[in-house]
Amino acid sequence: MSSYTYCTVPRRLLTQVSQHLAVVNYHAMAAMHLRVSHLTAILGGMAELVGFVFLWSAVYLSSPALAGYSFQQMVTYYVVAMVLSEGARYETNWELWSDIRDGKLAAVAIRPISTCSYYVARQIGQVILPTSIRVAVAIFLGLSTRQHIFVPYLPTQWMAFAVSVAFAVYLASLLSVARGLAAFWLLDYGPFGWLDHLLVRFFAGGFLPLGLFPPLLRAIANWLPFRFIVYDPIQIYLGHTTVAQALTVVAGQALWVIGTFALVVVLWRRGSRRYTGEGL
Amino acid sequence: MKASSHLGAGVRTMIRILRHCMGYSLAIEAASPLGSWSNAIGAAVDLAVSLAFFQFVFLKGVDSIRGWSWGHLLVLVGSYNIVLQLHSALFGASLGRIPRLIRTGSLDTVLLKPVDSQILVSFHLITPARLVYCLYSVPAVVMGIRHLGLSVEPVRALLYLVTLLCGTVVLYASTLCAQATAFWLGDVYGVSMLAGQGMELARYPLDIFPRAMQLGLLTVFPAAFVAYIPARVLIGDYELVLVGAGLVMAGSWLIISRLAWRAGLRRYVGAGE
Repeated sequence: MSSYTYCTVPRRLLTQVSQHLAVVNYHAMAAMHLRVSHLTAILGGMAELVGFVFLWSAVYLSSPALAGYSFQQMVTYYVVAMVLSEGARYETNWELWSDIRDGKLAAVAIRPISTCSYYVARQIGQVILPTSIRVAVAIFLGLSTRQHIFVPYLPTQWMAFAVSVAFAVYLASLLSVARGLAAFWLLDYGPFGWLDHLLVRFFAGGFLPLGLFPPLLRAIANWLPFRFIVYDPIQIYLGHTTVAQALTVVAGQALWVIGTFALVVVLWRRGSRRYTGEGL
Repeated sequence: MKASSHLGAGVRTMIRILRHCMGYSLAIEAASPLGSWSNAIGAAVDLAVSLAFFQFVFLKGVDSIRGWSWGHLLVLVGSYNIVLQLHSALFGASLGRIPRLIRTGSLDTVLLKPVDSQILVSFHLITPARLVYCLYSVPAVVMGIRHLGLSVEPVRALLYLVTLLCGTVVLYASTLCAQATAFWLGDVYGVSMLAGQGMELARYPLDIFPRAMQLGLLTVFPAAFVAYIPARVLIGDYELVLVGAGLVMAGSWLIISRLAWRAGLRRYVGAGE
């Protein structure tokens, strides 16, 4: 291998990283223009959270613990789920579908960056601001109602949680891209969107911890990748996992990331052969 | 005499246009059978997820939630889904288009038509085929009533239907107000989320909330009228004043939505993208 190749490999890698960061940065800035909208949307998210908290406080009046969750842990579950659901928002599928349908994908494909990773970077850029606001809200809630919010004190727990969240966001983005690529074959993805959103949130544990599911549905959820997006990172946060189990979760996330990445590559290669750029 | 014949002609024009809108929506549904199936399954899954939430909790040994047993919650969640599907079939798709009409200036074409613009933007994508999805919730409501060992006399059934319609009107008017903020804000993502998630509170029994919040959900943001009041009526735990309050609230919110729409139109300049 020549010295030239040694020099160009890191340079190419650096260029790619800076290209992706530029996409993330641009879409984070674009989201800043909608900051009032994001703040109002967070109030909506808070309304949902308030509903869950009062519902569970009523449930816990007749039962001190449910499926191993105390009331404090249940409230914490929903607060962390509120943050994670925003960080792993599933909107790339809609945007990709719209770009394929309208023929706008051609404009993205000519950019000097892989098209699929462009959409992943775009989603990450879009969720930075709303997720940061939700993190701030969660910290505020944690500080103001300390008796209701559980905060882990072990550094290893925080580290494992941070790693699993990073994988969760990336996995959610890849799954979203994979679903959006269905637009190469489906003329109208719209009607599937709501169903898709409901099922993903349900099996991710966004409505209810998977520990409360009956055995059959629990088994189905265990075979799907969605639990790695919300449920499993929260289990690590709450300390419901040992170090070995936390490592198993991260390994599972990594495997699903690899598998979904391969699926995206295959779908992209097959789908882009069908694409004409005509739009509708 | 002349005024009444003028009104009659207006109503006839409106009915004709609505008939065309329905025909157009049916043609869209027929053109995308896969989409129609997906919508049908989506509506069923939505109901199943709401019921599963409570079912899983009750399976863990919980007897009741603030006096609401599994039977009560079947009636509540079923009623909520009936109102939701009624709203979705009659106005859901049309109201969702309002911000785009305003942003792009396409509202001009609506304003040029010889019918009331609020009615047209509310109904132009009416999808009567989706009214069938309301039927999904009927077994849940019937099961709830059976579970409670109740019988429903015709008057109570009629009052239940009246309160369900009031709930649909309240949901329609609040959604229209949220979408009409596009006249002032341009982007309504946040407001829609706030209104939508706020209305989700209608899925829960009002009794789980503290007093101040209960008052807010009965007056300022009347989510309680969407499902809680109809459920109470059907269960038989009600006074006639509740039904009257539902009618007053529906009327008030219709007026509020009318005022909001007209105020928005005064701001509209048609300078779209």
